[in-house]
Amino acid sequence: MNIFKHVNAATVAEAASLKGAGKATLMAGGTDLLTTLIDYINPTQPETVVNLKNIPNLDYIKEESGVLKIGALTRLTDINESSVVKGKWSCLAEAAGRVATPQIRNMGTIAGNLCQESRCWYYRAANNYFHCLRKGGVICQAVPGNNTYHAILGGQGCFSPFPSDTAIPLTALGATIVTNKKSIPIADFYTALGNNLGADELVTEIQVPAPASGTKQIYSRYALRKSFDFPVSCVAIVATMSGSNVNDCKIVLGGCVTRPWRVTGAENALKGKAINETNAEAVATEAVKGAVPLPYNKWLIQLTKTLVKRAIVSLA
Amino acid sequence: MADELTVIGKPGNIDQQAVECVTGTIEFPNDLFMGQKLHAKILGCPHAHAKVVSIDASKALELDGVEAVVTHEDVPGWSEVKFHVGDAVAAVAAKDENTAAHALTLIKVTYETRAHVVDPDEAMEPGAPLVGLFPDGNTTLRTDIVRGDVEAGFAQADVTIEDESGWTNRWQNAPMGGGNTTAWWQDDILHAWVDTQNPHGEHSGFAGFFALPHNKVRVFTHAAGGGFGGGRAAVQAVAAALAKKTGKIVSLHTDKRDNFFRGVTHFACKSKIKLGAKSDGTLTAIDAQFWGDGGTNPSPPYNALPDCLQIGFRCPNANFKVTGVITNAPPSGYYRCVQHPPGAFLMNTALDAMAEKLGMDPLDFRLKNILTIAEPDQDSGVAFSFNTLRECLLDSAAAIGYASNKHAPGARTLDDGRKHGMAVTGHLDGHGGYGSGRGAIITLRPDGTCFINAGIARSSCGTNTAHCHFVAETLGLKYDDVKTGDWGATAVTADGGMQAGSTNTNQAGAAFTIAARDAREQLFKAAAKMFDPQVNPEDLDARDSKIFLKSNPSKSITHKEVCARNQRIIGRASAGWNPVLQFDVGPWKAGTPANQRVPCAAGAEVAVDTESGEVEVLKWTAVTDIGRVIYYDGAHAQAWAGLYHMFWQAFFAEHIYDRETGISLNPNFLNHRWPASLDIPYDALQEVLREGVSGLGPYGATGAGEPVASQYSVIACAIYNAIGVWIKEPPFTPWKILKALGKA
Amino acid sequence: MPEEEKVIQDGQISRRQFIKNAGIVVGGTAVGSTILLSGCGNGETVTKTITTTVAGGTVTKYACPYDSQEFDTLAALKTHLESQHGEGGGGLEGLITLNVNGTNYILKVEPQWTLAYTLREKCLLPGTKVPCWRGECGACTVIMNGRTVYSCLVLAIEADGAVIRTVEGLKVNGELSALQRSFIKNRGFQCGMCTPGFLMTGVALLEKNPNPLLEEVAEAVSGHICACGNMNRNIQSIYEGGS
Repeated sequence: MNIFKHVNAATVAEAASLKGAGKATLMAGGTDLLTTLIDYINPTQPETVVNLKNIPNLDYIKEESGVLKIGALTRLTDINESSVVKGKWSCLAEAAGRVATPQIRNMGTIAGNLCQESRCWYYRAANNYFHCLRKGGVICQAVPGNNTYHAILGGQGCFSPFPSDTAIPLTALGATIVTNKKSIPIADFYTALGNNLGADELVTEIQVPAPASGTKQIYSRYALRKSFDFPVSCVAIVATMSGSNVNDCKIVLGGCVTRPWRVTGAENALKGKAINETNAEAVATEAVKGAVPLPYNKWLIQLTKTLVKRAIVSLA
Repeated sequence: MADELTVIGKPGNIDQQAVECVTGTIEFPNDLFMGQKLHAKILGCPHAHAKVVSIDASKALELDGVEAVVTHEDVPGWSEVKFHVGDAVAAVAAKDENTAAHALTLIKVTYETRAHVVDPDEAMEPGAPLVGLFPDGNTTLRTDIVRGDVEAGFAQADVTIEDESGWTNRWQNAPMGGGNTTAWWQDDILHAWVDTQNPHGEHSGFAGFFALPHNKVRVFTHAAGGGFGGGRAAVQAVAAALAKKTGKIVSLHTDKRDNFFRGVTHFACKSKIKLGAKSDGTLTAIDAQFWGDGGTNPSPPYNALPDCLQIGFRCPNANFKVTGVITNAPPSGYYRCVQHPPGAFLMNTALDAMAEKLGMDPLDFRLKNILTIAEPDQDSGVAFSFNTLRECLLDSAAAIGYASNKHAPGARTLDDGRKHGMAVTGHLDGHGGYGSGRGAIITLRPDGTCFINAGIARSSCGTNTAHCHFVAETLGLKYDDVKTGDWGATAVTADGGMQAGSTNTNQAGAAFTIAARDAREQLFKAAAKMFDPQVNPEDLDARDSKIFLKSNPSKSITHKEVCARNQRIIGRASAGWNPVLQFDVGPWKAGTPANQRVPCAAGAEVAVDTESGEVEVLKWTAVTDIGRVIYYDGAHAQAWAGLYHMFWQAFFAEHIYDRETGISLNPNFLNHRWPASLDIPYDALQEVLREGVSGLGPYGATGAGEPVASQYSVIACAIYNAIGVWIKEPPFTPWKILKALGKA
Repeated sequence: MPEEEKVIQDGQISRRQFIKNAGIVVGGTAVGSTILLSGCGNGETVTKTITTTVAGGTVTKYACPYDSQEFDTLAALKTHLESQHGEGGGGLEGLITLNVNGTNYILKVEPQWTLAYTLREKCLLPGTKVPCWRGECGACTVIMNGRTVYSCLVLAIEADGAVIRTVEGLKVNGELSALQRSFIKNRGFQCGMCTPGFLMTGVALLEKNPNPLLEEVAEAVSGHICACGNMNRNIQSIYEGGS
């Protein structure tokens, strides 16, 4: 890591101001930031690291008027183990509990999980070896290179896979990201190359509306290993039922997409249908419609289709 | 004799370094001199092929806490031309690790880049860029064995097949420990703590590098990390060079990323194998060509790729050829079991292809063509010290219920829709062999307890502990009365050789057995005089720390009593016994020259999910005959660890380079994946140590470490049996399965 | 003492409160002089006792980490620290306190130093191993404020006031703990590099759940790699480690 100054921010305003002044980076759990610094993956290094963990009142889980509110610095372990979250927002609890490893979940925060940097192996090459499109360069080296695990949906110049687990159920649950400047639906938070946090902006809270009673939810994830690994492909489904048929639903893909990828075509295919193998197959086929394979990642279309199909079937 | 053993093979004997391991006090090289040393990091070349034109380290040296920078001008063994991304260019010593790492980013190097080639197929094409290690190309013939008349052999065949397989997966030699050295100079004597598999070899290496007489070098090793073959000599010299320049203690810590750039990669290889056989399955001809990707190592050990097929299977006419290819990628070298895992894979795809064409069960085809104990090596004419490959194959098959559940490829679908597959494979493994070139010293204390003076690395499964078993058994001492004491310090130990080739237990064990016999002779001579009336030494035996009269065991004295009156009993050996049978084996008489190879086999049962490409291992039994088991818990731990490594090689292991730049894309534990606790199918994995008796090794022991890790290819065969399609390029990930099924 | 108990139970405490309430127990072993420390460069001194043999016995003094002034008693050192180096007095940047295995350390750390590096090189506790430096293997696991963390991804400067437990603190009254004895019996180690990490996760699990199922142990250690291939025995060792 470069030689940086370290500041313990006392308030959100102080952190925002330091970040906005430039050459400073915010540190929550540190499990992503430090790995970027250790390998010098970015073109510039921060002069100052601003610790957020001393700021009071950013670590909480509460339900207010039916809305789940989670402070930005809440640890993933706490979200996974919270009876509040497990109750009505179970797919979020599940996702938080599948991130990496117990130690990472003990250290990592929800905001950090949402804002973490790409894990594309070209992006992560040390010393900014590939100054790629995502970092302000010209091309995405994954396109002519090894793209076995890269995005099949959402690629716009950059084909980085999306590393966050929790963003996927949060999108399916219609969450709102609250920052020191604005509130924004999570569906609008991510861009093709990152997120739309401004220079002096940081996440302070995540709000999740209560799903209707009787809602079924699932978070399903595939990775080569069952711990440590980022999701290769994942899906969150939130469905309200009408008898044995699905009334309404949200289906959001993650992993081999560039950002949380809501598949409305698949949702429409599932609405009004019973949950069975045949219908699930049709919905899953819709979910991967429009997928654009690169030379080595066509398998992810089949894998994602299977993942979605089985997730639907298990909702029954 | 087996039922008379009191120490060897007994469960429950505790590892000699157990307490150190569970208290965290066993010393890895950078666990010493805490707070007193400088820390070193290495800068690697960013280009796959380049000449260093200039190095400006001035900014690095200005950084507070940086004390020295070395380059190829200071470090023996470094040239100014770099041949792969990561090739060492410079190194920094600084007051802490992070300062050293940051200083690397301040060193300005100018390079003259040269054309490079990373892909081995491209490297072989005419007109390919020169890697730069050979003047006139990128290939070299490494093996060319001719047996009988291959043309005639094919003429006799009723059926021929030609099978091409590979490239197999490269995996990186990156265990948890490894690649660390702490060095300092005192006066003009070089001291170095290393995590090495060969302390005495390192000692000679340092002496050579720095042009020192051997008695001005001292090497130490305690914890060696996982010793799977990653050579580290060029890296270790850096610590010593920086220590010389700074006059301080320098600790070189290579983290896992460094390991990937500068450590040894297991080579990728491929094959073209033509087989000829009679319609009854008898092999008549083999024409086997292999290619090995050496990276920047011009002579990695893939020359023995044909081994599995060449040694264990009967065929009077055969050609075996290995061509080595070099590329501008990190050097290939040894990784646990070396040529056998991929060599067995390349062989097994061909054997199964022939069995299929013959309409024969693949196991029956193998049983028909494997050598029996009565048959010597077909090329050297030397007998084997034992050969239970047939029994290992049959035991493996029985363990998975092969006889009653086997079926044609693709023929069986499970109730849940997955495809079911089974396979049995095996060969005579070239590791675990016997050799006599080791030294050993043991010393008896005045109270009858004993130290073994082990000039050898401690391998993970406790070979030092196994050596204590040999000594205790031979001297008739209780296990607790023999300790390793200190070990691995080259100035005060005999050269116990290298922990490699799965020879540590049996080869050093032979030396320790001879040293113990030497001490036993002195003990018995002295003891004989202490009986009343006096007896002859030949009348005595010993067990449980008592020396007793064979004809009247109740008449005994203790080792303690003898040693109290006869101090400084020292047993020594500078070699084991010659490699001749120690007793009759099959039709071979004691005294016949012999070769020790380890029979290994495996049976596997899998379920392949054709929708997701995932493979579940339902059962995987590995049956290895390592001869006599010496250190029971260590040997069984080693056997399970072998299954773990095979599981890893089959499903996860692959070191991937970017083809254009030659840079590693997964130089870390995140993407070069070791299976973690939730990934391992514990209930499915079963290790069996068959325990025959080898006619060569001490007490009939061979080596275990590698033969137990030889057979990931059984999974390839089981997957073929499940889906009727071969995956010719391991690992067998969902990507590969779906592609093979036409779904990707 | 109730105040000392407070130090340990609460975990996070402020530096000022710490200096006020707790006895400053020096870390490391008595050394002959301070020369040992300065060889590592400046700015990272550790409070040490200095024991000198003089005619008639030994004399122990307590050294200030900033100006190396020596004091006859801990109380005198405390007063000096508060008055000369307290808040507003400058020089406190990077000054942290760590309670490690019940012993308190006052350290001045650089922002880039990880907890792992600090424990090893400054608290002189090399039992915590660091093979990967990136949070990808679990060997560096310690218990920090009651939770298992990768100490290679914790900045020491952010661990001020933390209560930390490492493998060096596992013995009970100088004897191997039940968990350590289980690791010996079950051979829960091969090369030894990953072992301290597994032990700490084992400790954390068994204190919460003294009779875990095998599946629960496997889940708890899912953040650990054992490349030698000893996972089954590592799990068994923890499984049997409660008694």
